[in-house]
Amino acid sequence: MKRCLLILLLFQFLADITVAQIINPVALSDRVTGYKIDAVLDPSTKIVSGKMEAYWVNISDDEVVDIMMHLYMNAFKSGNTTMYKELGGLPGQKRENLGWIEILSFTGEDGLDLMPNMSFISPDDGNPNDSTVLRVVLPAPARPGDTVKIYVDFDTKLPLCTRRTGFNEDFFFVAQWFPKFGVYEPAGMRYSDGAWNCHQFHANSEFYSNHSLYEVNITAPSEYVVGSCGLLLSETDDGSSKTGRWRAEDIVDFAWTAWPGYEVYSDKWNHVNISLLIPAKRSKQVERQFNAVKNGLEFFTENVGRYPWPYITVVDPPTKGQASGGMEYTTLFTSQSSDFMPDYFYLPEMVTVHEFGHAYFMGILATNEFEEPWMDEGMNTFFEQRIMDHYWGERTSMINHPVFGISDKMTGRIAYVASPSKSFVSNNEYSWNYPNETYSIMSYMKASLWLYSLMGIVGEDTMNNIFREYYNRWAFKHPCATDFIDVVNDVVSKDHGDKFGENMDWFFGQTLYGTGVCDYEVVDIRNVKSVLNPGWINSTIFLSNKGDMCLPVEVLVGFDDGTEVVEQWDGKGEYKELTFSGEKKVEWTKIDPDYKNRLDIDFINNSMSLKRDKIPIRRITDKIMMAIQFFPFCFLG
Amino acid sequence: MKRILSALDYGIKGSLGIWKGALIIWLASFVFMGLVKIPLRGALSAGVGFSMATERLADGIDMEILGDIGIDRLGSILFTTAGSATLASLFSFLLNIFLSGGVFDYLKDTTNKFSFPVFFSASARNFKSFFSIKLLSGLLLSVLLVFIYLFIVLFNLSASLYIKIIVLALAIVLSLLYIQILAVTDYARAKRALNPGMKGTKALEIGFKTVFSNILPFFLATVFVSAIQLVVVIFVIRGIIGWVPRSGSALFALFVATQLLYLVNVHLKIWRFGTVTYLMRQISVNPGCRKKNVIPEPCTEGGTTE
Repeated sequence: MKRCLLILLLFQFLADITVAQIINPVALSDRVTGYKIDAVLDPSTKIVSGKMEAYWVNISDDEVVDIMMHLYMNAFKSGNTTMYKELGGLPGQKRENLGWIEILSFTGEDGLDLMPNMSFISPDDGNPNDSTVLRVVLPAPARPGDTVKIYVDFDTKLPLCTRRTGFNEDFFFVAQWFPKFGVYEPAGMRYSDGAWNCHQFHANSEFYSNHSLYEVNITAPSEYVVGSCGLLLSETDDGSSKTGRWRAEDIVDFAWTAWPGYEVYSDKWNHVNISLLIPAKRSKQVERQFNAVKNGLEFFTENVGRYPWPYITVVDPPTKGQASGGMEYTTLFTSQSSDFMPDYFYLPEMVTVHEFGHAYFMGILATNEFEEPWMDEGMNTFFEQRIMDHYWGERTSMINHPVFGISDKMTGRIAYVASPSKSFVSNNEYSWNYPNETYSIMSYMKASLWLYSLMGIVGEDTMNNIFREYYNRWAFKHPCATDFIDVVNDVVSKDHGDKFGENMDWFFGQTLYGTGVCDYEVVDIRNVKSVLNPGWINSTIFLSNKGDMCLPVEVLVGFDDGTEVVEQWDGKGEYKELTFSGEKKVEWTKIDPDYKNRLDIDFINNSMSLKRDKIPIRRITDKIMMAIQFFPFCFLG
Repeated sequence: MKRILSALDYGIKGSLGIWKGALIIWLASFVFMGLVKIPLRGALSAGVGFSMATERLADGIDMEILGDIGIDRLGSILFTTAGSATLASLFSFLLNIFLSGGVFDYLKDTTNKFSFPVFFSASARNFKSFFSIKLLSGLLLSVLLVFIYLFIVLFNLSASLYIKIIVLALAIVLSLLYIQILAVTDYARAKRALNPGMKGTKALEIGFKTVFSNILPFFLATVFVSAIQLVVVIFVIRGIIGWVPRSGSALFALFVATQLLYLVNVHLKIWRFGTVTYLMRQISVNPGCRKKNVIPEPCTEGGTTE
């Protein structure tokens, strides 16, 4: 009853504070937070001056005594911030290239000055020099259902373009630029007690926020082309500067960019208007970018859920703004390219598909990127690779050259297999705690690989059902790992009964929470003539599980008469023998013949043939020889 | 034009006449490349063992499978291959210089019968000079290639039509210069073959003076033969590299085809050498027919007159 009352109060509040829906007919999220910001960009000082009016609704059953806000821009303030300490310092950086956010005034609803109530805290590492988390003690605790309104004036000095934000000459990418609420997690949502989940800005971490309503007025010099996460409702221009009125609904962050050199292109996919801001000299890549976005929209819509906003903005930053490339802000994302991009190299497509995918994994399904980075990066990499393979070819989705091809999926696995640190830590780790460069290997690559392995076990249809259900159940909420596992267990049980056991926890225990590797091997094949039955052959296949994981796999056995047999191996035990007796000899054996278990760190030892195929190696070496023999001879006289 | 046709005719006859020399060049290249190929093949075969993962190499290089050989092992294979390829290329380069001494010696008078002792003795005699000629011109040609490549990249990068036109024009000029430097290199070697006492640098100097004083015949003749060479290279890139033989016999056919094409290329190159040699002799004998102020080069110490 109390919960119902709270929800009623919330809806009443939302009805009061929001104007009529503009972008979508109904609110997609609870909109626990909302922001109205007037932002003015001064290109000469690289400062964005902001006046912000924001609210947070206490939807918990707790009395909350404070609010916590991210001041991400302070991560760029000095070499002593937590981010730069984790990066190894900030040698030689000039002061004009640093970034920070200065709170000029901070008042409550009744005009009460809250500046004395402010303090910086460092919940993750206690670093006294880090000021990326602001705590403000409320004059009175916020009771369940209460709305806390704040009014903040701030100046944000942008850093020289680095780590997804900043300026370079006349280029500006303005991200993580305003004071942003952390997420107050009610008891039971993630932890047993209700608390603010508001982490510092780390070198290896992204973000976590509530779905919010944004109304942002951006003022910039008239010659600047501006793009943002919002929909442009109106624009005024006094000849020297222009002000755009932008609105965004139910997104978790608001970023924008301004640069005079952008050219703007438009296209449409079903209900989605796609805008592309791209340097003029990359006009040849416009179709490539649109194509990538459309493919992403199609694949996600089909296999996960509907893209709910009627617009998306793609920003391809110029070379001088490369540091802001490859980042996601739900309804706006940045791609990554260069002025000269060969047609056979699909890097822009890959980045675009990936960053677009974050509209789902992080945007709609707003997971905690600080604490469970695999849930956005891993899931998204899994979909990125599937999309790239689906539309750009299974062997060519990264480089498609007549001489050489490689797929996106392959590059991810190669990085994981080659990493000496792949067993250092599990996927269940806070992002900033990943040691020895393992953050990307674990969060992106390993998670994608075990999602592929899961798909190999339960099948592609079930995997798509899992993600559709995950979307249906958790869209515009904050799911965590156990929520996803619950969805997997429910869907697998529905599709396959108890074929894989009571639930799939055994899988996640090894892959998500475990640190081991997976490596199956065909050790030997022996065919021995039977002494007792002349003409009969006793065949034995020796299989080994050299790794730490036990995942079920198929074993395909081929005989000398051309027949094949499929055997199942649950992967348990270090060793297994398959025996056959009959008039035919075993000629070859393949564990996981379709390479579905992409976690396996060595595909070469997964198979064995008594007849060695020498042709592929001969062909490769012959061609290398030809290249060395031919080309210097031809071109150097 | 008649002189160019005569030069081409002389060159092609010379090229065919020295088929035994061409075979020696091919054989030398084959042996040196074998020094790269055999260890590489052995290492890769050991890496994949009796695995059927090689099936995935059926359609070309599969980096996932090659990566599973192990980064350390693959790294050492690639490092060793790169090392042996560099050494083989270096020796091949030196051997090419050596053998081209015999080729140019034969081409100065194609009426002589080819003889191995004469061929190798001329190769030895010309080696030092040819080395300096080839080293200097090779450096120059490499620099030109780099700049041509850079201009092509700039052409693609630039959005301005004005810059595109300038860059394209520069790339074309450098390409023409590249062809002309090829002719200079050939001229210098032909000159040195005729004048055994002449230093390589001197021959190169004369080559620059003469070829740039008589641009048209040298350019047209060289560009004609080089264009045919280029067609062969394009065929190799498009046809042979993209061809993925899946059977032993097809693989053998690939091997034979590549070696035949290499041999064809050797002959084409000798054709160019012969063509330039002919033009050199013609212009030296009768320089005034192209440009009145060109003085026939003096004989150097111990050199023969032409």
